[in-house]
Amino acid sequence: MVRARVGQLEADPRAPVARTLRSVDDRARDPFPRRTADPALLLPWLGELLRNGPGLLQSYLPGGPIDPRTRERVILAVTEVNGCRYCAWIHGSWADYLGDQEDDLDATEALLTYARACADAGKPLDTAPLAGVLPPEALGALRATVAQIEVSNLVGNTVDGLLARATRKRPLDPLRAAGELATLVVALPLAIPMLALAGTLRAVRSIAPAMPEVRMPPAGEANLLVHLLARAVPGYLANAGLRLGILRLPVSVPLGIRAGRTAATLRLGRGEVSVENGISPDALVIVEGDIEPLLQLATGSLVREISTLRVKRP
Amino acid sequence: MRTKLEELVGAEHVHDPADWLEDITEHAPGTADLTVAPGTRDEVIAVMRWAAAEGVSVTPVVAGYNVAGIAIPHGGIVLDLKRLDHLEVDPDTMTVVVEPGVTFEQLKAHLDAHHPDLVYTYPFAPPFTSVLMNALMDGLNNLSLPGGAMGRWLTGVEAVLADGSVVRTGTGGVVDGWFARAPLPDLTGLFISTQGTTGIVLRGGLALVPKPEHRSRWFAFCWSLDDAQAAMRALARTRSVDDVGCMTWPSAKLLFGATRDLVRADDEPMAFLFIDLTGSSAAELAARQDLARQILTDARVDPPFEVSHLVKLMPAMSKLAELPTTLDFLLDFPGGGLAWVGSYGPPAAWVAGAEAGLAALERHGFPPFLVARPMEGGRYQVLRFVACFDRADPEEVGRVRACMAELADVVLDHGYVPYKASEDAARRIIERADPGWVALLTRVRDALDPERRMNPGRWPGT
Repeated sequence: MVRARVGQLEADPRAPVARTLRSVDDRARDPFPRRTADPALLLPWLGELLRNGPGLLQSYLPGGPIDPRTRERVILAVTEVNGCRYCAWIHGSWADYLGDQEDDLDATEALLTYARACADAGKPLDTAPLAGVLPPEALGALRATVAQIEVSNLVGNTVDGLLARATRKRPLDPLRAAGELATLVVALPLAIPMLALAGTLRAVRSIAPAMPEVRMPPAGEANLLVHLLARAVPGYLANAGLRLGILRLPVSVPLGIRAGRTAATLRLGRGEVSVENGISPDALVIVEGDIEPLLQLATGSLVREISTLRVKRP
Repeated sequence: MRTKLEELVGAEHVHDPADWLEDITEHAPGTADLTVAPGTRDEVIAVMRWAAAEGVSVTPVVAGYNVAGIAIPHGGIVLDLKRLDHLEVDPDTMTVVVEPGVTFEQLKAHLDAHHPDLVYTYPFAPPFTSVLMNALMDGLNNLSLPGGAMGRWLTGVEAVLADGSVVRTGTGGVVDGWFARAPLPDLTGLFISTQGTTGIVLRGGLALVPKPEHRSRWFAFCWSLDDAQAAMRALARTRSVDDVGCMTWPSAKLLFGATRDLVRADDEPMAFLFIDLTGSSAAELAARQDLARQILTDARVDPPFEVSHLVKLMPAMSKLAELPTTLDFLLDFPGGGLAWVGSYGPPAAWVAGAEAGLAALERHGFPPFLVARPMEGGRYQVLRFVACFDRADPEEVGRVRACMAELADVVLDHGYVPYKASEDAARRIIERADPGWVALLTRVRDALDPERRMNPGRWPGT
């Protein structure tokens, strides 16, 4: 799905509708259909970034208030509106690398609607309608994510705008062209590593094995932890890097997990994943703890919860 | 008959009754001549007056999703009330007046959009079921721990009787506002748990409550019914918990998609508790959480975990985090059959009743699936036994019928009284009831529906 959107953008970079904010006169003079990084458009987003700086950092850290897949979907939603093909390629690669996972569709759709509305308006919007959907710390991360990709989109579109000037599809306008060139020079140190990262993510995804079916006992016999792991593991291994690293292991690694009083053994490697009831005698290690910290660990609160868990040899 | 009814409600709202003759339960299909779906209060009254004049039986229905076969017709017409879906909130008295077609989904959406500081109480029933019918059948919702069975949430009704006359109860019968049943003779009870035998309720007032800003929903595993009961009883008596309920282990397996041959593994809990805590401030919620944690520890229940964290890991579990909800693992069971005997009774007899009922389920070849909840501050408690089955398998349907009959006796033997009683359960209640109780119900029915045309077959023997 992500790739289809990226493909659509690449095939027709003008397809996303050019948004308002530029005057009718400007549009009449300038046939380039996308918004670029002029100061009037950038300022509201830079201000938003300054106000939500910690949120931006959090959105890229493990256990952040918005999970990485949702973050990338928000980014792609904004990018789809603004029509930046470079951001679409970078974040499309990132989203593909992270893979799909079932999620709370209503909550995600609310975030995407907000992100698209911001992109349509060309300015940050009030997050009050999301108050019932997201906790306060996630609102900050969302605002920062939208602002960051808006700035990136504007800069990315500026590249194409400059190319259009160079190829005379757009008036040359030396003064504006110089400003756009300066913007690109400032952005390049960040853009080049991002492009390289996206290329790497794309390569990893292309060589990662497909997710196998998780083997488990008959549903009526499998204990609750086995059921939970069988549902959760594909979500984790949707990440192409993890899939590549774990499934390509030359041996099957048995890992014991005890949540409260219920136990299971997870076997990973040799292209297979299986879960069984209880701790197998050949388990290499056993991770045990109360259910709450294990759940929080599993859902990304890595730093906060790991100290409450015990890892031991059987 | 069809011509007259088409004149009253429009030809497009008179239907062949085939789709209304059976439900998800083990009960045999019913019979009816036509289904009529009026769209207004006046149309309902007109149909009822016509039925009175013609001596036609009337079975009211909205979603038809009760699990006792209560809406299966026994001749006459089916009166489908879905189209009556008007509601009106009075934020001052914190009440909502609803017509029978108003669904939980509709009410919640309306409150969220227009009165976000108010909330109703929701059941583990599909969102498309009727708010008013749930209250009239004395069901149990997620605020039944503080507020009692849903009949108590009614503040009055307007109903059309078997003879076509229209009556009112509660303050709405005296002044302009359905804010309470007090301080008047409490006639609302004539329409609660009588299963449509006393009249068709056209609209009813229901209590709303303020919506707390902070909320937490926990699960906690219990390793015995005694521990579960100790925790439920203690939590209920703190008056500090919005909801606490208990489901035995088969429910969790069904939730994960298992359907047949359920086996409890050695290291699996006997049951899990679901616990709702709220607070007007974060500090209030935290204090309640501390108290609840201590109670769970004292009751030897495992440390609780947040349902929201489980949902984050498995979004499909969100069906347990927000009400109203569709418990599709019950409704989508292969073969589509769902039956239960639910009852209200004394907490002290809960464990013995639960053990006897679970044994009965297993004797009849069904997993030991039980649902419980303390009600009205812990004064009484729910004991409900659930069986999913294949409606296309006559042998299994026969086993369910025998099992439900035995379970009705089990709960009555332990001092519990079935709610939303099926025809069979109602018969067993009547057999054990005090003669004076039976006589009074009979006299009420004689007065309001001497021909027994209203939802025939319900409360047999009265």
